[in-house]
Amino acid sequence: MSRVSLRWLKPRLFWSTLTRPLPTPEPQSKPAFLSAAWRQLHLASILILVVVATIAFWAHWKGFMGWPPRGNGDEGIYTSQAWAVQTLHALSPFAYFYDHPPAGWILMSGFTWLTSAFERSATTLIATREFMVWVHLASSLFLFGLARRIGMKPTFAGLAVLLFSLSPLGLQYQRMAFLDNIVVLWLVAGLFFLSSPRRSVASGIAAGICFSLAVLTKETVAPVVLAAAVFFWYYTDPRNRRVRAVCHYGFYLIIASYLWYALNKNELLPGPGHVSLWGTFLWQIEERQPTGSLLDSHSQTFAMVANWVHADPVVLLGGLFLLPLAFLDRRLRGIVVMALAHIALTFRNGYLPYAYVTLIFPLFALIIAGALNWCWEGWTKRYAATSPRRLPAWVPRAATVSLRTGMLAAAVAAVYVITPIWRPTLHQATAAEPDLAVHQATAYVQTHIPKGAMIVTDNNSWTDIARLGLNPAPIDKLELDPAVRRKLTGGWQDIDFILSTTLTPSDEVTYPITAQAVRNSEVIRSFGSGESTLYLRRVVKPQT
Amino acid sequence: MTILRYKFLEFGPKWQFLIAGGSGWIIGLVLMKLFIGGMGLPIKTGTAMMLAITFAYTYAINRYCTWRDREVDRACLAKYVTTRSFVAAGTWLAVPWLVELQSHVELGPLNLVVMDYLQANTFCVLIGMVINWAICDRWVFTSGVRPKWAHGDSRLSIFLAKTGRRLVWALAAFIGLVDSPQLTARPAEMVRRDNTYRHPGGKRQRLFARRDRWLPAWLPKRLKTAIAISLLVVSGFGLMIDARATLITAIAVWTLPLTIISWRSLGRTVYRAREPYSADYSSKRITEFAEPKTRFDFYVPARKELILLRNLRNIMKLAKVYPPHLFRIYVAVAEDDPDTEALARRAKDEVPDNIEVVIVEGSRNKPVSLNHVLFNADVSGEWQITLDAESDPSPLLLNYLDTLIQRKPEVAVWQLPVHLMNIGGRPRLRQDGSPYPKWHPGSWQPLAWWQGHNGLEYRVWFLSAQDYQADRGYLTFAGNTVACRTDILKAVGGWPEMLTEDAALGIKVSSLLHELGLQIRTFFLDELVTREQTPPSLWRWLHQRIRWLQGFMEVKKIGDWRLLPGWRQRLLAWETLSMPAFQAISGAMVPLSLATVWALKASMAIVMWTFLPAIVTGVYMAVLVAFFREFCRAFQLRAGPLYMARFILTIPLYQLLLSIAAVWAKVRDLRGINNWVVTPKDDIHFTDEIPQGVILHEPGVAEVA
Repeated sequence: MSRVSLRWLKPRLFWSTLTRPLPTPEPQSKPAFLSAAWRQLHLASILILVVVATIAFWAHWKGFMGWPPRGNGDEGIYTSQAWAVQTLHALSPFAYFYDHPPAGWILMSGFTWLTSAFERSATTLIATREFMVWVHLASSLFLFGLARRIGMKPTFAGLAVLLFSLSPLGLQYQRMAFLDNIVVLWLVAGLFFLSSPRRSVASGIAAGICFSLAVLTKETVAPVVLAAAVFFWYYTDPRNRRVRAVCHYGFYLIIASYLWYALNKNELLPGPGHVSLWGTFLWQIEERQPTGSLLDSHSQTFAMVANWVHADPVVLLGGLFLLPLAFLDRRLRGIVVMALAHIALTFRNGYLPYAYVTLIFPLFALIIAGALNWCWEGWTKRYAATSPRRLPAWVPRAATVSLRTGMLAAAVAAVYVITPIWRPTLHQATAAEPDLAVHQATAYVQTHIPKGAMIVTDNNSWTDIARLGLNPAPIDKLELDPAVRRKLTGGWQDIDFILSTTLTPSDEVTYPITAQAVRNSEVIRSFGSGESTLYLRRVVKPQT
Repeated sequence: MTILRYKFLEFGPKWQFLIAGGSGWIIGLVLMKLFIGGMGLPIKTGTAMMLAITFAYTYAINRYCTWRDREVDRACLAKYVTTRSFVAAGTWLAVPWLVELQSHVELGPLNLVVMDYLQANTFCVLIGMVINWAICDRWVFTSGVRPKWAHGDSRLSIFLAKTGRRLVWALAAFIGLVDSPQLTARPAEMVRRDNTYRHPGGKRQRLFARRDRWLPAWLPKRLKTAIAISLLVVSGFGLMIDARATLITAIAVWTLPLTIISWRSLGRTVYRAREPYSADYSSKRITEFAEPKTRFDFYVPARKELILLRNLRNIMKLAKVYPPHLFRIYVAVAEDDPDTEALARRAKDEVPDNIEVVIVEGSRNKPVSLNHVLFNADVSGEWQITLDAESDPSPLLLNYLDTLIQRKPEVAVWQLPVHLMNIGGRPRLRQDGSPYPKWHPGSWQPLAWWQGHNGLEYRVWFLSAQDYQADRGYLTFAGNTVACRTDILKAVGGWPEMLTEDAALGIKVSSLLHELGLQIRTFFLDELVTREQTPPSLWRWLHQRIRWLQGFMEVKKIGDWRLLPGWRQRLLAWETLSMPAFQAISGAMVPLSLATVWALKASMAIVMWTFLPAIVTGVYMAVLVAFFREFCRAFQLRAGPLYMARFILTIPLYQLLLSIAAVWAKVRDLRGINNWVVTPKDDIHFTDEIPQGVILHEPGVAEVA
């Protein structure tokens, strides 16, 4: 029996691979684009991409008008801001108070202007949700390209896109008009450019622009973008690393344009009579009601995360368990560090945003597919250079063959296991009827409500009512924005109508005016059905 | 179908185009009516769908019928798709705008402008058809050289085509992109594809026949001056009426060119590091040199050079590694310069076979001296190397050149790097040779802040910018350590008599080499660098830079760059030669425009717009710092944290100085416009001061510490 060398266990090799960048692929003469040789080279990729992209697009497109139901008011806020950019040429219909940098809804408004989305859709929310479908398609294409550049075979790259697109929890958050989906697009595009096989400065610049736009869409992604430095390191060549790094990080200056904007409006630092960027930043860090740390099992954060894991254990738990395996592969280590950065932020006793899990999906999809690809590649390829020559040749081959057979069997079993978990939500999502409650409410308001009436709406229906020229006030702005509250000189009695759902927050503590108006109102019409039914209430004023 | 096609083909090309375009137009109207009127789609969507369908339809008809006799390759396809896409995009934007015009524009009796979408589409299609015809016929579906005017075209169509072409080409000639002979050429003449104007039966020298006027005759003289003056007058009035709005408008208008200039500068600067294989220049080090075969001639123009003897001795050190019988030094001395002549003769006494002293009579500028050596002295070498008198060549220079020449016989010009070795940091040694203590304040040179920037400029120029140019087939020579084949030099006629004869020569040689199928290459290695010093003072530097910038303006004006093959080379050469103009107006504009926009409280759109060049300039400054640190590391120059802080803070100041130099050069250029033959007023290049760090041992002979 020949001795097995344990040379591969020497820690020196491992520590040096920890920080050694990936080798630069040799510049080969590539066949001309769309020529016969090119088609032969990329046939598998193209076929799988077309199939997977079609499935992803169809899964997101069919029924996007109706599912998920209107529950979260943030969608309405971003929709109203996109509408404001397009029609009012302002960053927000009310005072912009630097809650998020505006690149996200500026992009939304670009789409709605180019395709006249607000005019042709039944409601404005449907228009922005349609944009989310296109954003998701673009993200899927970039994700496939990124997976291929990381080194996954076309099948596994397709698997990554399917995990990203068909996950029920993912589907829910990706269909909603959140800025996180745009952030995912820029992030995946940036990683796609960073992993360029040519390791060129131009790709570094493109990635720098993408990451800056990601931060300018939602500033909370900044730690993940900083963690992408690990990814950058592995995908550089030492010969031009310094210049590529300078150009890449130099273009983060685009983020400074946000500060420049605030500076020019004299709203950078706190002062009397105006909002400020710094003030809002402090408010978001310190003063918001914290939902607790993930490590505390009694916190709201923990409950939210538990709900997410219950909704989709496949991607979330699968990604979590395959994290260590993916860490061993240098190509995926950057992705793992980014995912860990995103998760680690929930350990802080802070506020967990509603759609925080959205960013995890591309990262975990890459991790799962990448780890599986790593396993599939097997022993022979990886240890060919260092394989001990004393092992008989059939050992690594047998190991690889058995591993791959096992993986194929496991794949078949996985399909049987995953399908019943995912099918109900997918069926519900694709079979949903368009949600026209807001459209019906708008039509009713247009015909039956007099022009000068004061109507208070929830965020998701504000834009449609505002388009009629009725000057509505959203509930949260009523309480929190002094300019809006000044319109009510007589308190809750100045409100004539309220249009909201049961899910709209209108509790006594935070929204006293609205709560009192609701108590003194009667429902005159309801639109839609289920949890997101819109109720139109008329406020019954006391007789003077 | 074949009968129809046959009948169709019987018509001439213009009728075929009209039929194809006309049918496309009618189909487009029908589709628009269907989509917008029938299905109720919005105008933008309907127009987009109609354009997509008619695009494919007209392409198919044109490709398979009208231009079936022309070659179509992927380049043609790309050109067609690009230009038609632009026209289609223009139509897509214009149609809704024209339709909305009725609600925004009150034209009174002229309200005939009111259009519905069908009329708007017709209007756009008519314009688009003219543009498409011109583009398809003249640019897209061409195959090789073909006669400009097809036999059988009616005089009317020739006239219309010529007028249209004249308008487009006048604009291009105004910018300087194209040669204007085509506007004035008679139809029977053949004009070559690369726009060189060839006399019938012309010899090679005729290729460089310069014309007095490059603009077409029907444009007024000094058109650019007229436009510049009118712009000044308009802005003057604007400043008087509403200074704030004028300033903001000027800044907003200038931001786009400024962004493009900064972006291009950034690209040229990082060109060396664009990909790992190009950044790895030290891997091209040659360890095994070839058997020395090439004969080299050094041309060393000298005037009042007190360190000439030392430098000639330095060049002779090359004899240790290269056979002395294979190179010669030709020192060109003016006849009224006895001191330098004495030094040259002393050097010749030491090595009589290797040094020739050439006395130049008459005017004393550098190109005349070099031409005198080239044509009148008995030069025998196959290759010549121009070397400045005060520069220090690397000992391996000739070995490398010889090996490169033997390995790559298709290259006729090799440009090797030149660097400045004093960056204004703390000198390591005092005058007497003892080291300075670290804390010593007297060792700082506060007035030498600009030397680091100057050295970096040379580094970036030879590392990246020259490479960028050579890869694209043209090169403005650097005038120092340029190796050129002697027969090529003689064919071109030597150095043009200009302020920057090297740049002019480079452009001339580039076009000739393309004719001959030879290449220009640069080769960069840290150990191959020729070492020079910066001018001794800022004032001297300023005058040197003014001379160079004015020279670039002259090279651009004489127009040899228009003879380069290919529109890309011409555009890039135009850009390189316009650098003075760009520097004059970009320099320190970025912080200035930001400060102005903030102080004048412009609208937010303009505020954000002016931030765009700031981003690119910020990255550019960071890249400069990275290159500078690499430069210092490569040549073991000390640049500590305080030095780097001073360096970073003075980058805008240096850009401001470049702007001042460019404006000064332009003023000199405009004032000196009377004398065509330029004699440089200040021969600042030839220093009559002893450079810094030089110790005189005996009168006339200097050595560097």
